[in-house]
Amino acid sequence: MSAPGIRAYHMAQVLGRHLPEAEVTLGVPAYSDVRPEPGFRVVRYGRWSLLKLFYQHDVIVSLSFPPASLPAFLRRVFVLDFFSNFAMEWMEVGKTQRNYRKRWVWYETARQYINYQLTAADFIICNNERQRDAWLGMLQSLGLITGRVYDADPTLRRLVAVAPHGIRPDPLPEPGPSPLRTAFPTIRPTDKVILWNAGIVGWYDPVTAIRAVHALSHERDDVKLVFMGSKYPDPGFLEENPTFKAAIDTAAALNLTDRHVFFVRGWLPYEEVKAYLRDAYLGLSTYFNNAETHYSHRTRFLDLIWAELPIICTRGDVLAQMVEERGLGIVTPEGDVNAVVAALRRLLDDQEFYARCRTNLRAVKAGMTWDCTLRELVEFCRNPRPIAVPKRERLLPLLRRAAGYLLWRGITKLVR
Amino acid sequence: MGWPPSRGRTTGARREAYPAAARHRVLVLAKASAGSMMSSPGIRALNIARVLARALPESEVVLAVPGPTDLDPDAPFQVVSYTARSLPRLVFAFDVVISQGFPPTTLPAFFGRRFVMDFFTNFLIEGLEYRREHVTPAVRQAWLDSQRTYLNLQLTMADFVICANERQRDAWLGMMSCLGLVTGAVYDRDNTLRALVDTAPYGVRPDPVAPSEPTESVLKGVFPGVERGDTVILWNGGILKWYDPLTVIRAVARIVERRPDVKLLFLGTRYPVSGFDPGATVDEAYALSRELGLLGRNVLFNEGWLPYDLSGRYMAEADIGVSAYYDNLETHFSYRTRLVDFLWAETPVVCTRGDVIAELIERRELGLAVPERDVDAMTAALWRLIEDRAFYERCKDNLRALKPELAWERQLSPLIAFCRRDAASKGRGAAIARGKWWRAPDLLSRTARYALARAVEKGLVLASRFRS
Repeated sequence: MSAPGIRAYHMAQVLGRHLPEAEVTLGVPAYSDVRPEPGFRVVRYGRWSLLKLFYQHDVIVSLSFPPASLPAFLRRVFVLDFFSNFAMEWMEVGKTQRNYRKRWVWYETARQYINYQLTAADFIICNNERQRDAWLGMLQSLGLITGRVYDADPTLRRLVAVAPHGIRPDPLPEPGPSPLRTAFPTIRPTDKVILWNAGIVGWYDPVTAIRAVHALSHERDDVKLVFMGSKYPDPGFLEENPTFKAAIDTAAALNLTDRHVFFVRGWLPYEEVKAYLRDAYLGLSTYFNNAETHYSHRTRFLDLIWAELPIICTRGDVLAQMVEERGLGIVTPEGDVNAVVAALRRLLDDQEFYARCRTNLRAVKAGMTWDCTLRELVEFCRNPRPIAVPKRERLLPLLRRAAGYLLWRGITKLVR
Repeated sequence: MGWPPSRGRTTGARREAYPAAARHRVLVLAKASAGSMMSSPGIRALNIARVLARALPESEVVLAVPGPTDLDPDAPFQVVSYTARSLPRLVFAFDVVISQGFPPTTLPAFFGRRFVMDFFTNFLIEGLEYRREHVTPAVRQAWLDSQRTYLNLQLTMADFVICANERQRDAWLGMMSCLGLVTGAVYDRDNTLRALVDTAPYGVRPDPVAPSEPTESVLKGVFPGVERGDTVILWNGGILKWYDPLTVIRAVARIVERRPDVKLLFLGTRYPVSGFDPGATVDEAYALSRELGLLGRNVLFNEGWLPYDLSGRYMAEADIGVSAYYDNLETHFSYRTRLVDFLWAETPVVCTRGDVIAELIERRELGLAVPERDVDAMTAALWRLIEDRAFYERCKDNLRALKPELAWERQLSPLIAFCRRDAASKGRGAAIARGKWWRAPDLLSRTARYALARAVEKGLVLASRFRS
């Protein structure tokens, strides 16, 4: 599972636990292997069975309401899970498109898509306050915050709520066989493993991390950087991106591959990641301080927090801000190799500081369980009375925006 | 040839009146009066002109204000007054125009100039609060629609947007991406988008708090009802609809039982902006203080509006600043300039939690922030500042330490940098916004939509008047 799947899975778990009177279903694409649990059942959907599935439920929580689901709009409550500011994230995604015409059309399609989704939503949840402010701005522009909506709740928390990504509910793993050291026998038990604990997405900056480890490798040989996950489990998403290639090439050029820098090929199952986290010494993640980062919620950090691993990351996003404010590790400026080297040195050598970070990590964990973070979603589902503009008033703009989106999607197919 | 050719309404052919100057010209367009009687939009425009004039000696800076003004520039900028009719021509003569809103009549000047939108508050949300009573739901919705179409038009016209805090910035960026104004080309020019929307909040007054020569007191022992040794809690600024003076009055009622020397003074009851109705909150505040028997004894109202300089002296002389409102969306996006004035006056503050300045006050220990409508918490907070001298002094020290960070020059640095880039590149490199020609079709359709929404609104208002 990658972040959206993890999120949906935990949502089903939490909703099943907190709403015993409701029937909770986790709808998953046909290729996933998730198993039902006592709180919820699992249904596999395809393009055509989706509408039937929507009709069977009163409240649907989804990160997308495709046009095929529109017949269910008038009678069902649509909760839109917009956990990332896609308008910005897709700016970065679109960069891989070299054909400028295709790129331009793709952006326009994305914009039409977002406007259409926001119009379809009765309630929106997102990951942090910055995303919330951006969604509120968009809703304002689209005319979806009317006087009546505002009067129903002047905080508008019942229209757009923050329900961030949580940490795993499981206890820390017991010591056991180490899959990390089995996969890479050159990593000795005394080595300090620095974990890049998720995929190398296109807009990350693994090269700075590799250069920092290269600089450290001259003075000590116990520092091992492990990149975990090179390919996303969802088909078609970021398979072999230039950033990933740059990471492999840099490591090879500096003669670090399989000596100080290791790549776990493929994608690790959600449960297996825990053993990797247990065997790591700290978590490292470098990226760029751009608009994508500004709105992002780096879900990979939540696993590090769960595993109580101090974090070294780039400044710019809300979780980096938390790392800085709550003393969970060290935050560095973007692209600054020396700062990353200094941060690594401090966490490797200053054991007192390292221990303090771990204490702080334990302290923040309590408020970050999925049960806590999804509270507003649970409240809404318990008594779904949306304050959004009444469905009938939204119907025409919705159809117009859905048509606009479909039109642009058609153009995407034509442009070459 | 000097500039401006004439004050007030400009006459004559444009080419004659505004010779093609070699100098880079910046116009600061104030939407509210600036002079001795100013509310925050006017103060903001004045300070922008002042700071830009000092920071850009090679540029010509002009401040345009609506109607007559008694303003005496204390920096190298000029002051002109404009009317709705002279405005379209006025903007033609400048390279950069900074305004709190561009009327559609300035559209002809869109090409060839950089429009900087000074969106220091989320107007639409403010409007949601402001127009809650006195109008029928239909009129209110029509007004909101015309506001919304107006904002969409303004954002389409903008080449650069400045706002007061990060929350507002996130909302403006959201609106702009929704409107198709954040394209791939814009993102490629600056992927932080700081060159498109940045924060340039309200700064503290440039004048020193303590006047150079010891002047007479204006408040203690002078203001009717305030004795020399009294402890004064000051509510500066007006009592707008979305403020909550009642919680403060109730808290003060409890405090005066033990400390009869505590006085609460409301500084402004009327607004200098004509046509701005403060709503019924003022009357409620009067009624409650009368009911509690405090009116004229411990709760005092200053009728009208104080001149800007004088209000500063009141703030400096007061012991505690207070401001209470509700923790709603208006508060969430707001940047309470009245609180900034207290920070300038180095007066510790008690305010409601929910906005960014309340966050700053808590984080930097400049006073105390309390939950909305919580009389107990308000009483406790005021009491602590009155009784705990050590804490009070610590707040004062923190205020003094913070102030340099809030200077106008620092707050406005993104705007200064923009104008500087614009002057250096002769208008070619400063703005990263979508190309003007690309925006033209949307600009036309959004102007039409705004005109339509405005017509509907006017029609509905007329109809409701006709009926009543």
